[in-house]
Amino acid sequence: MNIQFKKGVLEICVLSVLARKDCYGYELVHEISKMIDISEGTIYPLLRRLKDEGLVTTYLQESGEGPSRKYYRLTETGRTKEREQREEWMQFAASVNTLLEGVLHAAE
Amino acid sequence: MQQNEEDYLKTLKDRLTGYVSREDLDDILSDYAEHFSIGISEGRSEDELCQALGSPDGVAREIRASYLVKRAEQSCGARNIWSAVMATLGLGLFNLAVVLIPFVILIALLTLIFVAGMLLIILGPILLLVSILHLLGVAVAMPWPIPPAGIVKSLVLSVVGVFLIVAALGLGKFFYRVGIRYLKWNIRIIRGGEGPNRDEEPCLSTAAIPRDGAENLELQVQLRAGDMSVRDGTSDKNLVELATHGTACARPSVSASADGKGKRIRIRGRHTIDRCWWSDESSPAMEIRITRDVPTALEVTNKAGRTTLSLGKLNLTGLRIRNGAGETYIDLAGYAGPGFGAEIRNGVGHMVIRVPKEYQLRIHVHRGIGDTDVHGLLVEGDTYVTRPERSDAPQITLFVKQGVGSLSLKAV
Repeated sequence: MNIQFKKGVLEICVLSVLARKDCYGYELVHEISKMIDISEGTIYPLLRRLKDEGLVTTYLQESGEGPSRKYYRLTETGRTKEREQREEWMQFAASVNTLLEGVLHAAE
Repeated sequence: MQQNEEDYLKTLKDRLTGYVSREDLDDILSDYAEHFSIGISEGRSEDELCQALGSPDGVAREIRASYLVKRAEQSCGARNIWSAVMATLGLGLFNLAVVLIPFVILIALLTLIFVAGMLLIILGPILLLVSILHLLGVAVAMPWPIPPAGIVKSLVLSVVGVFLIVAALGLGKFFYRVGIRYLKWNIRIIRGGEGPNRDEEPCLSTAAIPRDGAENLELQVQLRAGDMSVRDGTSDKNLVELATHGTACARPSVSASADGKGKRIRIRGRHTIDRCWWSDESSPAMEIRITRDVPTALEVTNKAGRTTLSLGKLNLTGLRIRNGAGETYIDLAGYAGPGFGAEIRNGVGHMVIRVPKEYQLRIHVHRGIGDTDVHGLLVEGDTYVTRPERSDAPQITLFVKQGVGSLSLKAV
């Protein structure tokens, strides 16, 4: 799949994973790379950008073993953004699907 | 080729040094180091992790690109007043009149006051000296007709000079601050941009109330308007922590009193929306965190705004909630304390209440207009109850009054 495609949807994926629960970096990367084949390293720069934009905040939390982990949490702005983007995505995806199916029917 | 963590981090560091600040570099590297350490602890090899992360060059390129964008954004977010004027000017002719002319007039005025002050400060002592010399009989041109009065006048002139300078500096500072805010607002209006400005959070204030051996807590929280969130989790030594930000620019008032082993704390947000016309922040917000360990009776009042209460991990002994208008979320799921009674009143707005199903729950509902949606509870008249397996399960009694808006009750 086209790499630009994936990059475009990465933000909404990250936001919606975080909307369900706070995650540490590795966990988030794991959740997303399970579903989408993408260089795991590109998620960290994205997280930094989301933080700079005030959509997520971070906090440190002790883990059972090893050093404490940096968790990411959505801010209120982040939540609003997530809802907006999800809605936009749903509409967009639905229209694209309709179009694609239309083309298929025409070809038949 | 086998790759390892050390090489990966080193390459990343080399490619980023000079492009991002020292602090950010450390931060970025620690993110990746954390990724490696967790990955390894989950049994993946360093080589495998490197492969999955993608080439360090690519990652570095990505980071550099986003860093440049960030810097560009910050510089037009008004780092200093001049670049802000220029940036604003670049945004439209409109600003020629709106920003530049008042700006120039203001600067001219301030400069005038300053120069006048300086002149008086220099002239005053000179005139003073001349007057004294004249009195002493030295033949100099006399500026004042009467020498002793001249001394007084010269002194007055010097003092007025000092006042003018002080005033010019004070006014300059004030207008600088107003100007910066005004410019930012201007940039936002013209750009049609949204959201709060990121390079500062002007109205953030935080406070913490230490534990001091308190064995129970009575906490009263009031907010006039805005988003309020209350949840568990403080640092060990604190009983309550709070943070406010938003339009109000007003710090909340906090009063605490101790009564034996108990502590009473009142927090009142004095937020009013009309307070700062130039403020660029969104609606006011207050976030309160309460320790998990100390038994707590909580009273929350929010006149208008969203109220989010995540109380499941608190050791609650009593609860009163009054919300005027706005959505209210009350999450008691996961509660493991001895049980309590609660009174919850909401005027207008949706309300969601989640309660722990292992408890013997009795929820009395009085309600006005709107749907009621109930999950996991049995109906007994106008009361919703649970019948937990353990008959000795502790009790939670809720009295809920909902005016207009949907009500959702869930036992989980």
